[in-house]
Amino acid sequence: MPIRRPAAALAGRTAGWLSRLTRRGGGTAVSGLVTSALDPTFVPDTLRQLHSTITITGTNGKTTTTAALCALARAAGQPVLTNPTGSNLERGLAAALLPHVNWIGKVRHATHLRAILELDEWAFASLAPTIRPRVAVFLNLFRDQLDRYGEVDRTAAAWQEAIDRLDPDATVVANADDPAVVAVARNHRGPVLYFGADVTGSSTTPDAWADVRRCPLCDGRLDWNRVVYAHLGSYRCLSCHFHRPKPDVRITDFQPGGLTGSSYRLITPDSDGYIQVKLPGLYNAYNLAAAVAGAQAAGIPTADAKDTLETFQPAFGRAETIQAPGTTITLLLVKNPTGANQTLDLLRSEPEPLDTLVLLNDGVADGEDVSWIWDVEFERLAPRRLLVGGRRAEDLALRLKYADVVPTVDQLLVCPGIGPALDAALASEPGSQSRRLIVLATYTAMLDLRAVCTRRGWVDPYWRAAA
Amino acid sequence: MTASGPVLRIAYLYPDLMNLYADRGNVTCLERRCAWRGITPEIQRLEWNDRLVEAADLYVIGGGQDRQQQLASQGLTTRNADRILSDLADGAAMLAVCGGYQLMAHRYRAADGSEVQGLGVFDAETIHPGSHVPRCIGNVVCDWNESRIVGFENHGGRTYLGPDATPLAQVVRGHGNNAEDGTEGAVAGNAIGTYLHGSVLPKNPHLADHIIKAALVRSAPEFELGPLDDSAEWAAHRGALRAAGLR
Repeated sequence: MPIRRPAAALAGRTAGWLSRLTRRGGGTAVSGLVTSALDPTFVPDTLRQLHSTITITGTNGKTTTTAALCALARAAGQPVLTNPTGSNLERGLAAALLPHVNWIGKVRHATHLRAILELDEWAFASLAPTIRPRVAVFLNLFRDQLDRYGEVDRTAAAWQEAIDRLDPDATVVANADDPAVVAVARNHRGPVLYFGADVTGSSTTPDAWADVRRCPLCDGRLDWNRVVYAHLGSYRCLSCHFHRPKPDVRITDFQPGGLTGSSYRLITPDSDGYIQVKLPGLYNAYNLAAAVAGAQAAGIPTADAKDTLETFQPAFGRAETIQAPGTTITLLLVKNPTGANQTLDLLRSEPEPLDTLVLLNDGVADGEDVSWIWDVEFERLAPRRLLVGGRRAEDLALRLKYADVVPTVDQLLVCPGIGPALDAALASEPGSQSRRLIVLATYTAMLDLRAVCTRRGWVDPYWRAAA
Repeated sequence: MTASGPVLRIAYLYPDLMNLYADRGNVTCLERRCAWRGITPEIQRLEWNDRLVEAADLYVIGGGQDRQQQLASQGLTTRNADRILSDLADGAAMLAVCGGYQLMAHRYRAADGSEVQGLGVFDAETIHPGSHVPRCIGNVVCDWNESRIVGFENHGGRTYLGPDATPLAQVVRGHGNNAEDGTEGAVAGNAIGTYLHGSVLPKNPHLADHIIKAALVRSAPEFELGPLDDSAEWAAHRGALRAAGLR
């Protein structure tokens, strides 16, 4: 143990406590930032004491998949340590570990405890060699905040380096439907477990914003016999015969249920049955399939998976429901074209047009480049009433003008402040009764909106909601 | 408005390879601004193995990753160089953004040292100094034609203009071509190269109309571009100025 560990842990705890005290946040990242800065081997040293570590990475679905995998482990009576607030850089891991260590850095009951951790794409690449996960889950790879993450091919290359250094007895769990993921996962020296969706896609061409169009191995022409969405689907290279591997855990008979849930058949090597879940959309079906595959790879019993998955609630900000006086708000995080387009499809599957507020911020955590909204097919949106807000509300209004969603831009309230935008959206029309409001928001806009709702007593703060 | 005006033939080069930063917003913008004025936009989307047969009034290409750029370069130089260069020599217009801009200059030396051949529309070349050197990322504001253009840049390569190239604009905020000489983009005849995403045209309606006018010069020189209500465009333009720390 480094001699300064007790001091680092104490400093971290104090910083986290101060952050909560001053109401600057949940203290989730601050305590970890301080600890890992003072004690760089804190995270790997702590994780090494535990039973095992499972990592979850990918562009979309990390928080939901991590929460579902934790629920499966807990249902099987296994104690879990996790980073539930979506704080998925090294500092987030340190913050999640801090409450579990004593003053000399020892974790109590360590050998029974599993760490189930979501990791940012680049944090996974840099941390995997030292934290040595027993199971590494790879969800998908889409373009996302290119000013922060860089080009998609570079992320894939970084994953490949990390996978090459995984222990041979670690299991890689990978999305069979994502050629970019399979191209790196297949090189793992140990076992690879695949999950996928056998659903009838309406198209055989990847969407315009898809990131894989040609074979990731040889640049040959990839041929899809169906596309689920973006570049996910069933594919085969016409030159080198790279193709979608047969999934071990798969979804079939998918039935959408609007924003409130979905049902489908979930097939694993040792089970087969229909489930009805509270998570909407095909993208969440992938997340739950990944969680079940992750549990299987980690030796977590999934006999009771059906009950656990059917009662599982969405993570904060992910189709989360907030009750305001007279209005039910559904809050949907959108942060990249694939996620946003999937969300728009969900809204379209609702039986009637809904009041919709879209919030666009350009903070570091949102992506400072707002260009991506031109890859979002707002043309698909058919709202009853549409308002826009956030720091780049004007860019959003312009995008919607060119999408021809509203007759004139004057009908969009362009309002940079989150609170005033929410108030305008909530202001009910004369005579209207209880109603619903859909809010699509980028990451910091989602946190800002939740903070407004928390101040008004409508919802718990995110660090408590996630706990 | 009725479609009594001229036809504008737009060749959109390799949208499947060169749309990393949603530069397809430029095509959406051109399409709508033409239609609003009774111009009929005819858009041809070129795939990697396609060969352009018919002439175009306007070529559009966006940015992509190194590997996709390599493929686009093959498609351009082996199948379509003659068509594009002869149309441009004849006065056709072009908007080439980021990776597309690099491909329209002489050559691009990628981070791994490999060279990608360009079409040489612009007398310029691009060198990627290596992946250890920070990329040029951030909001950009430039002086252009006695006004301003705004956007967002994200490029590893540094572009250096040769003696026969004219810069498109002068950098007020951001890096531009190479973060050294204060230039941004290049102009050659009616062709424009730039590093600006955003997408660049929707929030710079004066640049969009400048390009539409240039593209119509041969087929409909008399056609007047009527004014549009651009209040939403200029509001987004001001939003981008604010994001760059300017008013």
